Amino acid sequence: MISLAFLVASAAIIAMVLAVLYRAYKGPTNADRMVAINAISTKVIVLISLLAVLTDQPTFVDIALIYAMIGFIATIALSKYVENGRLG
Amino acid sequence: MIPGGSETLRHIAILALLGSGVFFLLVGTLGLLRLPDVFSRMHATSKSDTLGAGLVLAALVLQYGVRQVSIQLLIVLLFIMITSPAANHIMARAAYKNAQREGNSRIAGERSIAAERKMKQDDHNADA
Repeated sequence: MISLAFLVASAAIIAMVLAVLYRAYKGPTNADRMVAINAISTKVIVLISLLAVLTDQPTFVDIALIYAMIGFIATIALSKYVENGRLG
Repeated sequence: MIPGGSETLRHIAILALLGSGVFFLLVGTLGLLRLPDVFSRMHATSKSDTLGAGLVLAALVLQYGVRQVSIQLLIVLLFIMITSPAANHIMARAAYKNAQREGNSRIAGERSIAAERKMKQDDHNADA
């Protein structure tokens, strides 16, 4: 019964990721797209942790941690690009 | 799994944390879709996404109980709580600098409008 709640939460988060992806497609400026990609990365971290419970594989939590680190570095690189118009 | 704890109480706590976490994530998504410009969208997503992710991860910690995985989940939670505000600060700074550089005064705010006015004044003085 409690795993059904986790399943429903995962489905809701997948729907939210699709909704945010619309903003990343539509967004008038590059900054809008950057914000949308950051929101997606937070939601995917939560989704991976939920999958670790649903499939009963605690190893997935490590993958969520690595995803969080890579997402942070990607956000820094993207914001450097938005700020200067070039990388570096 | 918590020694001496009541199972029903634990399930109620998990459901409450999970529900409020998904609610906050939903509010952030709606703000990102509906609000008019970059900074208000950022204002909607940054806080509610951090809180929503933290609540859902806390529900997962309660589900696992006292195990090694819950320590790892707490590390992920701490990492998100530290990096998400910092990343949003960096993004807001980049968006502000970009709007100033491209002269988009509608989203760059009052400081850019004042700068444009001063530039016009300087041009006027140079002509005269």
